[in-house]
Amino acid sequence: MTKPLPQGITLGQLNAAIAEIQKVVGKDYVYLDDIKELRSYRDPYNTTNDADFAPSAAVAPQNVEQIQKILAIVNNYKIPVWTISTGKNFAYGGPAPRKPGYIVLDLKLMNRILEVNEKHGYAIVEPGVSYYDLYNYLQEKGIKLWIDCAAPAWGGFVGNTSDHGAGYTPYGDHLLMQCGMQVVLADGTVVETGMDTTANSKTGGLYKYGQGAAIDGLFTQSNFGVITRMGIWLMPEPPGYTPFMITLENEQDLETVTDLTLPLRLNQVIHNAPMTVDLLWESAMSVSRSQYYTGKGPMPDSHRKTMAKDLDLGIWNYYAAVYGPEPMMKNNMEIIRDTFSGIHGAKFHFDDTRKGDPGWDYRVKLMKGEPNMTEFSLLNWVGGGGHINFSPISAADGKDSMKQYKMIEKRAHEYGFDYIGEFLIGWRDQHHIFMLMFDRMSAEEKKRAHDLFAILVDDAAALGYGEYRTHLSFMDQIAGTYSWNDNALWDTHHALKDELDPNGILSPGKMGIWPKNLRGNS
Amino acid sequence: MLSRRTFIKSALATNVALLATPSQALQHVLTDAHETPLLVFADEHALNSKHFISSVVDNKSNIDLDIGKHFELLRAFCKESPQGIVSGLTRDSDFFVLEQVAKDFGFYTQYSATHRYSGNTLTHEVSTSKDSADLIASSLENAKDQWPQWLANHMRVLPRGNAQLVTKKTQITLANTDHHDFLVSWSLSSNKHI
Repeated sequence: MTKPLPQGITLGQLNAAIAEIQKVVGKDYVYLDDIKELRSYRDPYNTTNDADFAPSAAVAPQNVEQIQKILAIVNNYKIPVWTISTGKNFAYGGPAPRKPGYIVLDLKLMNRILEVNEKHGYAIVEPGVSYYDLYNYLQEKGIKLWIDCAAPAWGGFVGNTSDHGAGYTPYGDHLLMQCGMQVVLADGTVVETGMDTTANSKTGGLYKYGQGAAIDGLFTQSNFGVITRMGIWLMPEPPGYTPFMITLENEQDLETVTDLTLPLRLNQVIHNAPMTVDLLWESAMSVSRSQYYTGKGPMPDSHRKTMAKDLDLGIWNYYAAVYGPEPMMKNNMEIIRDTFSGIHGAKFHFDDTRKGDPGWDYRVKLMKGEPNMTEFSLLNWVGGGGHINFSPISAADGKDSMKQYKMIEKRAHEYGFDYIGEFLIGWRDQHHIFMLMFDRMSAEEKKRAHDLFAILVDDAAALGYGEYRTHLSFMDQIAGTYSWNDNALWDTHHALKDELDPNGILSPGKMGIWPKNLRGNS
Repeated sequence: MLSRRTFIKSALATNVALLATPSQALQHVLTDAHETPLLVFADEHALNSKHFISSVVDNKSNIDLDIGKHFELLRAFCKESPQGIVSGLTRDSDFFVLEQVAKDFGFYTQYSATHRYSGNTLTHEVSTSKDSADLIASSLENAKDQWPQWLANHMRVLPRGNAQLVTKKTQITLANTDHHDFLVSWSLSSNKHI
C-alpha cells in the first residue's frame, strides 16, 4: 500500500519528521501501520473513498510540552496535522483528516479531569476526557452534578463543544456552557482565555469573558490553535425530573407542535431542547428496515403505518422534560398538557407506561445527562449502515419546519433514500438533523448519497438555510453558502489563519478555512 | 503449540489436502488453542447470534441495544489479557464501536465477515489474511445454516497477524428462510502478543 502523503511533501520528508516526533512521544505513541493502526483513524462512513481521507500517521502526545515540540517539528517540515480529541463524531467524518496524508494529532491520552467544583457547578477537563469518563467520576465521588452529553456519548466535551455540538438537558447548548480554555497556537505559544489569564485566578470556570475580546469562539470549528483544556458548566442535580413524550399521528402536526413549543421554550416552561423525531428514527432503535420492507427506494406509507402501529409510535414523536421541585414541575406540566391537548390524536406518554421501549429509555437517559450508545443502533436500519448528517438551522417556526422537512423528504425520495430526521428546538433556533443512511458497501449507493447531500446544500441555501456543521466532504461547499458581502467572513478567517499559522500546519481545510499555500486548491 | 500467526499457512495448507474439509483441519489445532483468553460478544436479538453464543463456553456477553454498557468489560479484558482474543457475532454498529474502543489497547481487527440474508440468499463476505480468506469463506458456505455454530467452534483459531486483509465472498441459497439479519463476525487481537 502506498503511503498517503500531504500535498507537496515527499516520503523522505514525512519519514524524517516522524522520526523526530517519535523521539518526543516515544515509538509506542506514533501509529504508522496503514493496515491495522491507521484503519481506526479513517471515516468508514464517507460517501466517496477511504483514500480521500487517509492519514499518513497518527501521534498521541501526553501533555502540552509534547504538543509544542510536535508543532515545532511539523512547522519545520510544513507537514499538516489534523487535531482530534476523541474523534468519535462519525456523522461528520470521525477522526479522519480533511485531506490524505495529514498526521492525526490525537489528544486521547490527555484525559485528566483537572477540577470539579460542586458548589459552583463546573469542571475543567482535557480533550481526551469522554462523557463516560466524567459521568463515572461524578458518580463514583457522589458529586451531585449532571453532565450534558451528545448521543451517542462516547465522544468528549472538548471535541463536541468545539464543533458546536448540542445535548439534551437544559445545559444542552455546549458552547454556551463553556467557560475558559487553554490553547496552543501553531508557533507553540500557550494562551489561556477569560479569567484564567489573571495571576492566581480563582474564577476561570465562573466568568467567561475576562477583559478584552472574548476569543474562545475563534478556536471552535476552526484551525487557529489546539485546545488543550476547557472549562464546562455542569447542571446541579435537580430535585425532580419528569420526561415526557407525545406521539403525533399526522405529518402536518410538525408545524403545530413547533409553533406551540416556541413560547414554552422562550419562557422556560420546557427547560431542555424538545425533539420532534420522525417515525423511522424512532423505529430504527429496535427494528431494521428489512423487517418491514425489502423493496428498493423509500419505505412506502402503508409499511410505515404498520410499523407505527406495531411499535406504538407516532408519525412524529416529541420528547422533552421539566426539571425542579415537584410543585414547579406539576405547574409546568399542566401548562404543557393544556398547550398540546388541542392537537388531534396527540397522546402523552410517561415512564410508567413507556419504560422498556428502546427509544424512550435512551431519551430519558440523555435528558438527564446519562451517557449511552443506543442511538448508534440507527446504523443498522440498512445493512452495512453508512450515514452522514445534513444539519440545517432554521427559526423555531412551524412553517420553516414543514418547508425543510418537505424539501429534504422530496429530495431523499427522489434519490431513493428514506427520510430519517429530527428537529431540536434551541433557545430560539431549530436544528434539523437529517440522517442520510446508506449501505456503505455499495459504491452506487454511496455515490447517490453524496449527490443527494450536495444538492441539499444548494436547495437549503436557496431557501435561506445554512448548516451548523458538516462532514469533511462538504465543508468547502457549505462555506461557500456563507458568502455575504463577497465572502467577507472567509476573508477574515483567512487573514486570521495566515497570521496565526503562517505555515498552514493546523488542520488545513477545517470547515473551509485553508492556509494560503493551499487556498487555490480547495 | 502451533502459533496463530503461522497456523493457516502451515497447518491448514498442508492438512487441508489430507482431510475431508477445512473444518476438520481446523479442529486439529483447536485443542492447542485453549490457553488463549477469549472474550466473546453476541447480539442478543438476532436468531443466528443466539445460536452462535449458545455454542460458546468461554467468557461471553450478550449485547442489548446499548453497546456502551460493555465498554468496561472490554477495557478490563484488554488490560488483563493483552495476549487474548476478543471476538463476536454482532450487529454491524456494535462491531464498529467495540473495534474503536479496543484499538486504544493495541487490539486490531484480524478477521471480520459480514453475513447478509436477502430473500433465500445468504452472503458471507470474509475479510482476513490472504492465506485464510478462501478457507474460511468455503467453511462458512459448507456449514450452510449451521454457520453460527461453525464460527463459535473456531473463534480461537481465526487468523491473527500483520498480513494485509483481502475479501472473499460466497453465496448460498437456503430454502425456507425468513431471516433479515445483517450480522458481522469478527476477531480482534494485539499484534504485539501473537
